[in-house]
Amino acid sequence: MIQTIIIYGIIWTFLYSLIAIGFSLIFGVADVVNLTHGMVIMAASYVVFLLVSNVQISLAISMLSGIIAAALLLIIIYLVFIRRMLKAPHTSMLLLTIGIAMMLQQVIILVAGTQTRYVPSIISGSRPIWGVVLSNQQILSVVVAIALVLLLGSFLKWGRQGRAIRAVSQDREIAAASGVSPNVIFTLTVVISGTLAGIAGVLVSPIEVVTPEAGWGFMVTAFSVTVLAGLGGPIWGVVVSAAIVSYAELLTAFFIAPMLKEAAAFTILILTLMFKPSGLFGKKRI
Amino acid sequence: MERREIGLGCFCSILIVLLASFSLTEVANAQAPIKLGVISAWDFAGGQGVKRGATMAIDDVNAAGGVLGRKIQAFVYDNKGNTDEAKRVTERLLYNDKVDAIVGFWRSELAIACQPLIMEAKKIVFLTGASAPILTKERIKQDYNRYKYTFCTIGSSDRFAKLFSLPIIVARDKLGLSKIAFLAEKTAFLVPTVEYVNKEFKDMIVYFGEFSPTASDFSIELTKAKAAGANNLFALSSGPAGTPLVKQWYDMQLAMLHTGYSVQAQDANFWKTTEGKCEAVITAHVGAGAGLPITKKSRPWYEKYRTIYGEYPISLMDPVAYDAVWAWVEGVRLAGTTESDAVVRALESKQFKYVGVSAVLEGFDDIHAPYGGGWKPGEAWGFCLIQWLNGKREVIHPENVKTADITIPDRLKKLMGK
Repeated sequence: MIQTIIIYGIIWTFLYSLIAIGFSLIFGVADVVNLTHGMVIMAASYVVFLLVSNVQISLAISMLSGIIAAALLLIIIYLVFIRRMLKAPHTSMLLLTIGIAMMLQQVIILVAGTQTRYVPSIISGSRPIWGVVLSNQQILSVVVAIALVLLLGSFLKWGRQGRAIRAVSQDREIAAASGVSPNVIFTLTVVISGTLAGIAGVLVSPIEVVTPEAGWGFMVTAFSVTVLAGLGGPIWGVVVSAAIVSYAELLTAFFIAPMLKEAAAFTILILTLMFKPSGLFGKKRI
Repeated sequence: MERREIGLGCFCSILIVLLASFSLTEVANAQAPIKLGVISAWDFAGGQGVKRGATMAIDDVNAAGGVLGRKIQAFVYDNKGNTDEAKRVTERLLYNDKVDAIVGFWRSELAIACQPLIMEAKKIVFLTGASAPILTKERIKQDYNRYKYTFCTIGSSDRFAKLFSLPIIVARDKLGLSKIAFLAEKTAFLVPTVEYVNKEFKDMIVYFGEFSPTASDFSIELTKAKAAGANNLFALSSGPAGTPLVKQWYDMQLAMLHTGYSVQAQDANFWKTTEGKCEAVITAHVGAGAGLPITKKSRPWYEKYRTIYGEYPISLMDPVAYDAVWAWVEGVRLAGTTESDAVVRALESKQFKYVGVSAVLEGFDDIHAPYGGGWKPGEAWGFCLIQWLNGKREVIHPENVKTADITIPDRLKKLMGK
């Protein structure tokens, strides 16, 4: 039983990290609470589903298309809507992005219906890891997620553009005075965030199910992890926060009731906002 | 001509015109189509089954000349499985389309919310999948005059409890599997079955858990079931959760057979949806939906369904909704009118008898569930058990109609150490 909690905790820590990092980056860099993030993840899953089942394109090409579509979608949302309101109060941005998210959900329903959809696994079969049988799809998803988190962490720490992103995240004005263009960095962050959302969508959809409502679930996860991690903190802060959320969910499900699993993320969100508004690793108060 | 004669002539002319217009209206009414509303959640296998079954029945009624010399005009709406939307389309059917009756509702929760609206309008509703006891057994009993317009051809869901638990008995008696991990979807319609199974099989249950109809992750429940030493995963689900449950049961290589009641597993496309992971899964099903000859109409209907929709019935709702439309039509025929009170009396009368595709209905009792049944009077819909074997749905119970024996495939045998 303990092995199961540990192994599943690792899987969901990295999948949650992948879901949350894109959201956290935009939040930290552009100070934008982008509530469309969950729907962008869902959009990637739906693109894969529609291409595989309706157009019958190979799974690999469908997944690549899903990632590109998610990145493009977030770029369009940013250029058409968000960029014009960067200086608007947080409340306006919240209302704007929640409106876009609801619109996206309706578009998904119009195109694919409300029915639960299923995306086939990239690889079939299962294998035991430390006594816990996992599907090869779960193993692949978590390996890719770990690799991406490490890659992104390295990029932000050592890459030239990565350091610029961190600089803008910590202080936009000083970064601008040092020759970094915040607008270019915003756009770069949106591209990275959209790509990560797309990858999260294609990796999670074969493990989970694809429904128009699932986007809100991703959003709650991303929001809880980001608030717990805090703004402007290191990427490993997001990973640690994702671990706290995923283990809290698993322990709730194991020892209280599986149906209360999602309540754990909400509880963490509420407690953080009440007692540690700057988050565990943040440098700014949310 | 005298003034008096002119006046008389005018009076007679007006009278003739009035009489003629009255009779024209009567003729027009007599020829106007009867309006029937069909409501369900189209994006769910059960809801789509209601739509298909009811539409097919309406086409068949019209092809046979209609009822009382009038065709049926269908108003088919999607309630999206959402209570607010269900109320909105129900009101639209009642007050905008002015339907004579409504057939449908797959989820009990939505029917519970909309039933008072339909009763207020004094229109008949034939419920299809929605069968929580509150809809008939409780509300009709408590306030007959208000709720008497509700009929449920499938009966109250407490009648299914025994039928749904058949997989437990068959797996125990034929395969010796007596340790049950019982997973139940938390929905109104399944409450009586959950209570029944927990009471009747309490000595066999080693783990019990409940899940939401939209749950997608069962890793925790399945881990607990494994730790409890279960060899029969008995799960009840009417919603989409049935699919991820099967996929995870397979992926986790659990040493237990997957049995129960799953609307998803009744679907002819389930093999493809689960990428073949449903091998050996057993579910209770309505006989007619599985192609069994419950009545002489069952098999021809089954094949005709395939001709129309290009596949065999996707859920138990297809034949149930088909028969619900026809039962109402027979009530109207017997009453000689679409007027609700008269149709209620006709459906309750001893003269009412309808041989459907999935049951023989011989009138409706005091909670408006049918006296008749599938395999025998009083039994709902001739239930059977199907098992997915080599990509096909095989009937494994009852014995007299089975197409295959209950089987544990080699993969599971190896896991179970058999």
